[in-house]
Amino acid sequence: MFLSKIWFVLVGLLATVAVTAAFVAPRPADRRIEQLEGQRMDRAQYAAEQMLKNEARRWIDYVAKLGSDGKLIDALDSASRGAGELRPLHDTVRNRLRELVPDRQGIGVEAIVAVDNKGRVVARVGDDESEFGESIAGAEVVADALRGYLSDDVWGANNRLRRIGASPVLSKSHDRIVGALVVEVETGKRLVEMWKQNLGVDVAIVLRKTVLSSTLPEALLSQLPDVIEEHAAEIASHKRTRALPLLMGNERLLTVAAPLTGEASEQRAYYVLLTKKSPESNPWAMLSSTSSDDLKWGRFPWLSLGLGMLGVIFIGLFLQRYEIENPLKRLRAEVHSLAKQELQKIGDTRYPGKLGGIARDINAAIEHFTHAPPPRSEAAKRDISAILDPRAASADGKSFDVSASAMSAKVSAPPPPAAMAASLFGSPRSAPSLAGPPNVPAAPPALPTPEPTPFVAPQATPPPLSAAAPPPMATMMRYSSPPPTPQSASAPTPPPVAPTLSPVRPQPQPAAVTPPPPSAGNGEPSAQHFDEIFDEYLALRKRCGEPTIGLTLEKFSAKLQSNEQQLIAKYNCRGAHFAVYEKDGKAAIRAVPVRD
Amino acid sequence: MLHSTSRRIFLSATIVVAGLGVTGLVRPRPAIAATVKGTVSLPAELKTGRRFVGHWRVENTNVAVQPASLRGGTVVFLTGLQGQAVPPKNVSVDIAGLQANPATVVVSEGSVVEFKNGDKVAHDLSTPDQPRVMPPERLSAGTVRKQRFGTTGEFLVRCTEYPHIVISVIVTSSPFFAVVEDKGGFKLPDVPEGHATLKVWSNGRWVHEQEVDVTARGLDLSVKVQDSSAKENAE
Repeated sequence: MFLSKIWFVLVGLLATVAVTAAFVAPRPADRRIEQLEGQRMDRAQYAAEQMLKNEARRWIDYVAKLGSDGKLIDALDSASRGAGELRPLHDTVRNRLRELVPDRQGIGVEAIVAVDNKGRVVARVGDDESEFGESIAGAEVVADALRGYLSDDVWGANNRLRRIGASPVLSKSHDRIVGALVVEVETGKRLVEMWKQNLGVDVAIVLRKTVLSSTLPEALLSQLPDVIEEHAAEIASHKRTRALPLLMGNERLLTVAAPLTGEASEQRAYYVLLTKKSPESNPWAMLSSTSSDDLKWGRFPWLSLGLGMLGVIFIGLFLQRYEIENPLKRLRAEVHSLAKQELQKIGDTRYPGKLGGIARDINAAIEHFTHAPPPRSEAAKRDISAILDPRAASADGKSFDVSASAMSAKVSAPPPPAAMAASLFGSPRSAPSLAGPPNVPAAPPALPTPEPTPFVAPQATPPPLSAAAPPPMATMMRYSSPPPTPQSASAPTPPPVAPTLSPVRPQPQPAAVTPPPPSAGNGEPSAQHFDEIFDEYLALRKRCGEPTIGLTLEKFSAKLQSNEQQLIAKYNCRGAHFAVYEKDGKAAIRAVPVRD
Repeated sequence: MLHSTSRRIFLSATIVVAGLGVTGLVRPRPAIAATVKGTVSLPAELKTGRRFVGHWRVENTNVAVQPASLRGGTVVFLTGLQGQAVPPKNVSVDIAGLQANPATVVVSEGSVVEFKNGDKVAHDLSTPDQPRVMPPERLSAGTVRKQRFGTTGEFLVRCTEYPHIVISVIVTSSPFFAVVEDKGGFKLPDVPEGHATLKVWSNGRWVHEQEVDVTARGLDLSVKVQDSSAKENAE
């Protein structure tokens, strides 16, 4: 059993460790995943910034190449010099731009604007094609182009974002600037879709707390502008945010926001990269996210797991067989042999633990039944005691107090098997307790007995007792009062005598106690024996100051005989010896069953 | 008749001359007025002509790049000197070609600045840093917005749609200020003697400050404005 218990404890500890590991192990992995996701977003933001930069350069080069067209140069040169009307030049430039950029929308260009060297719009394709003549020289990117710079910018006018590329248009002799070309590139749905394909993350464009476009449903990104605004200082200092968590419905997102360059940066224009955050790992979520591939032979250590499980089971079964089943089997076989009298006793030393205890108990039981019984008289006493009242058995089993006082041993000591003294004198309370069976003859109705002292000898002047049925034993046993004092015994109406029955043996007997007479030999007390007992009893009552009026030999003898018959009938003894003794200042009689 | 007329003229002239003489005796002796002039050298960052830059800004390889116009955006001030306050007046700022002209106006308290939109597009003008002074309001093409500035201070009027349009409105009671020319020169006439603080406003902020002692002979200063990075390092 010991090894089995140890094994169960080990298996329990192993299971606890496994469960703990299952719940704790994902947490470092979660942190690592979050870190990796943050790094991935950092790289994505860097890549996005590089893409913006590359695209800006591409559009600058594109518009610079457009500006090298001869017809455009001529028209812008004419416009700059103020030669001729502007409208024909406007038409010329517009048509030429249309020819040069036939698939304007296909390449993401929203507008191309041609200005003369004063910044006056000569023509534009895309938005407001019919508008011309106004100056846009104040736009920084245009002013830069007219000064000789090729540059880019981002505009956020009219609730739209546009990436701008501008280039000066040089004269054919390349000695002066005759104008500039400005290209306006779409910065919205097309851009975010392209970035999503290239970066593998979702993208949103925000302008002045409004999500202009996104690869995610824009309605679900209502919190995004506020989150960005909260980190405006961080964006201003670091030109980007760290990876920020964002709730989108039930989805947990990780976002990185960075400002767009140029004028749009002043207009709180940002591009935001978003990715769905990995769900928090827990054993159940991890189990639910497994696929059939995860359980394939090559990926999962089925063999090791199976062998380990079988090993655990085998060890447990082996220990159970070794420590429980085999000893039980042996014990059962030995008990069978014992029953067949092939064995005298079980070899209890061969069985460990509780099985050994069982074996020892069996051996003790066998020892108890097979060994010689105690002396018959003592056995009889015990038997009588056990039958009349198991608590009545005295400690040594040698005698039984039949006096009234002996009945008080309801708790402290077992009552005698036949407390005949009480029933002799017709105590309605003592009779059932002494005689046990209900058919025990009750005391004579006329026998004077003090009312509240059912277990004492008849009083000298008691009121006549009726032959009423005795109270139940429980009632009788509850009755208790202190023993009478010698002074009270002389009183005409003595106080209730304690109906206590006490075992005879443990108490030191006074000198007045009469030793029990010899046995009658034939199982019936002789009349002489009853006379002697009666005389002794009367004498002791007188000495004790108890009344003797109403006591007659005939009734006394009849009662003793009746109680003797009860004992004989009940315990199959040959007869009973009676002895008179003094108990607590009162006369009492005890009976000793005689078997021999 | 003629005699009496001549005598009357003579008496009047005598009274006027006497009055002027008394006035000249009673009036306190004015401080000697001097002229403070000089040049302001702005760092490269303030001369780029661009407030908001993109990813690229490269020169073409054929034609020399022209310097940016300061557009009157740099102003020199002398503070700490006693002078007669400039009375309030109306100043106009024209917004045309997506730029404001002048980009910086210096007015006294209670002056009204008129913003005229000469563009074909609308401009949403406001002072975002001090919204109570000039709340956002759309200025349609061809319209005028009049804004009174009642307290001294510096106010930046911005256009929401075109952030490069920034108009500096400096409200001061001092008459000693001068707009710096494109080449950096400035001149402040009739400056009284005394200790003063010279401050330079450019690109929407104070970029320089130094103590000067104005003498009767005047001052010829060469003000060199440090770039912001050098200033931060010095601090």
